[in-house]
Amino acid sequence: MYKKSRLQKAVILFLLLCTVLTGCTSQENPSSSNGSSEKENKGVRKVVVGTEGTYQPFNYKDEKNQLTGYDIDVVKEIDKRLDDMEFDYVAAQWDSLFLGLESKKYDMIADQISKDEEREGKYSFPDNSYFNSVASLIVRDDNDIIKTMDDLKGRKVGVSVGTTFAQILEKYNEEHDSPISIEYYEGNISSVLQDIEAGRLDATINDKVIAKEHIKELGLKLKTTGEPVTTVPSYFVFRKGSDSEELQSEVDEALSEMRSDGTLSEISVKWFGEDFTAVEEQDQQQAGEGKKESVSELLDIKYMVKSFPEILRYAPVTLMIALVSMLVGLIIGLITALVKIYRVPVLKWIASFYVSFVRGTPLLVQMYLSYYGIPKILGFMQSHYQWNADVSNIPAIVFVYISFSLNTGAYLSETIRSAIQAVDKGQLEAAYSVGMSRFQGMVRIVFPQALTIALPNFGNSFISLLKDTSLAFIIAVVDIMGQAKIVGARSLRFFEVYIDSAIIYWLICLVVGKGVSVMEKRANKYEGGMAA
Amino acid sequence: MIEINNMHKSFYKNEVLKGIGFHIKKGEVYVILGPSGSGKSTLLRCINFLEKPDKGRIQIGGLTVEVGKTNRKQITELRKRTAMVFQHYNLFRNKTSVENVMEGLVTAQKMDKKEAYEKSVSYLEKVGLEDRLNYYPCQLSGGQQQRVGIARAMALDPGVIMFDEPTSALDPELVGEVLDVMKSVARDGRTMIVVTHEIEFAKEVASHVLFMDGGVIVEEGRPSEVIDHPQEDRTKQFLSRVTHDKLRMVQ
Repeated sequence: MYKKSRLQKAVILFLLLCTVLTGCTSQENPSSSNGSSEKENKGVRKVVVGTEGTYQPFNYKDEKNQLTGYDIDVVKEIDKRLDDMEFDYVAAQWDSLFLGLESKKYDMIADQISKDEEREGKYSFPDNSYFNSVASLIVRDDNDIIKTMDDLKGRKVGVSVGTTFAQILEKYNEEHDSPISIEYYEGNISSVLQDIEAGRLDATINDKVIAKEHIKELGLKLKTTGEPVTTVPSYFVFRKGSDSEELQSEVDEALSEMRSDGTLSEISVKWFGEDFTAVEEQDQQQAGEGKKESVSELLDIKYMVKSFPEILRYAPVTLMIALVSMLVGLIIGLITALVKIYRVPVLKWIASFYVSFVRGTPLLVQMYLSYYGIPKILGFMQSHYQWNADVSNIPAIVFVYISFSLNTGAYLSETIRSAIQAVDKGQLEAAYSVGMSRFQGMVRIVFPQALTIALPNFGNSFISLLKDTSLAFIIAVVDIMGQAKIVGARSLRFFEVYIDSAIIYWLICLVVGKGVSVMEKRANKYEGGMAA
Repeated sequence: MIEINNMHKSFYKNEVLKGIGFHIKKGEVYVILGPSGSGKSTLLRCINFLEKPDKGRIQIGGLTVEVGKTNRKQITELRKRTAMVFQHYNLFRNKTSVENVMEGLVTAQKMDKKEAYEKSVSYLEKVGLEDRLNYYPCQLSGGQQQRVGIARAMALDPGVIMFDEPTSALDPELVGEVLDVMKSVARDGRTMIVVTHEIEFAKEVASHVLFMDGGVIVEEGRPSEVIDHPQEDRTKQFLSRVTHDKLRMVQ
């Protein structure tokens, strides 16, 4: 064995710990997760197939909560042909699929994955593809300007992070001096489509079949337009290494058979009414030359170091979200606390409802409500009261500010309330007795003392807020976590970029923690014991 | 100078003040004696509306406040004409000695900061704390804190300074320094209402003594009358108990 550096050892230990800890809470794994692939049970090998399960009609959950779709049907047909193997299906998020494949939670991925050099360096692809995705431009019904990639210049184009379609756009930008402004989205295509209809985006690129399905399902006023941008073959993906070789070659063989006896195209026709499985020459060629001989390491420290500054660049976004939300949250929290303390009629009901709602619902839901709900309400106002605000031009980060501020405000209001109530009543009485008004007494005497009491709690809130901001990418705001996902999706080195982001968050929190304790010390000058 | 008429106050069904009234001339020192729960502190707190009285009339200087017909401005005005020294000092914890004295001058009376500072320093000198100007309350002893409290009240130049058991929370060895300062306040010619259990102080300083029990004034008059020759049984009882306690403590 070769010697590992100390850092590498430490990081691996850290990772193992994380895996153990998260392993305790992960639920979506029917078979025993530890090395199920290697255990041979009565001669039948269990194969766990990872898929997103949200990618209709390729893989999704039906009314009975069963995974189904084109991808699943193809694997099922393979299952039928391989007597010595039994296939199980697990739904997980895009990035977890690859992490799970590496950590042997899954043995293969069936999720319309396309091939590129970087992916091939890390994972193993069989010779046979099982689908040809036709990438197409999607625009609003009333848009007759955009017909080709060149028409996207100067436009806002949304795309799910890590997809082939994102790569098409990135490649175009690389070759043409970045004329397209790419907006990255997390996961599902439907948020991208909805934002095109809402006018937040001009277009997207996606699989024609998928897009049509979603547009129909969601009743959106969108259309696919122009010639196909490109066709992209999809593959099943396997882990590199000897334990996976047998599985891969058997699946590959079965696919060959299915292609030649026409079963594969039958499945395609069943789902799409069309055969999308024909092999194009170009694909074959690509498959032949792309094989690179690189063994995937558990951790690529070099890559980690290289991508670190790329992710760090987005630290200001994270800090900005946290700071703005904290400040606005403090104001909202103070007002709410005062309304509750003084039992202001009517307002106190609103305040109670607000705090109870925010504390009783997930932040994620609040973000969606803010991002999709507020424009709907504004749009309604616009059409009913002839308002002249252009809702679609509000940047997504504003909705992040709104939801995080409201969320933080609700939690802080309780901290602030108890801090104000913890200030001795005699302090305000003394202020009254020297002729000060309630407002003066509050501002000059009570609040400063309450601040000292609440400061440690404020510090904790700010640190949790900082970490909660990692959800911002959900509504297409690229922060530390969002950038990590974008960078990671490009190379599929999720481990490395997540460690990078963990380090960045950690460092920020260390600095913030230090800052808070300095502030506490300064604020505590009049609480300390006898000073000389 | 100060006139209180028919002051009533109840907490829920418990009537604490049952129609108190008295008249204080400028420069007089009124000492209110009485067992605990007799309503002494409530009376003081009603005079500057820290508790809202149920009924009554308060006149200070030219200002007349009729309970039930007050507005916020009137109450602020009333508070500007009174000052209070609290049992638990109630110094502003987030402010130094000199800032404590300045606060009312600058914030309520809108005095120029520099002027307020100089005035505050001179009053802190009067109470013997010129070397503690920049100390926070937590850095001062109880006696020192209460002296700052007295300086804070005096600096406001109010029509009356009310002392609410100013020595009750102090360690016995610190009581003397505070009483000495209070005597000097009296010698200054300030109008004072003092709620206390310090009989000796009352004898020496008071121009008038009120004995309260059960929400009413039981007996009043000069100290030589009320303290040395009490007429009412309740007064006699109280005085003998207090002096007895005092003796036991001294022993």
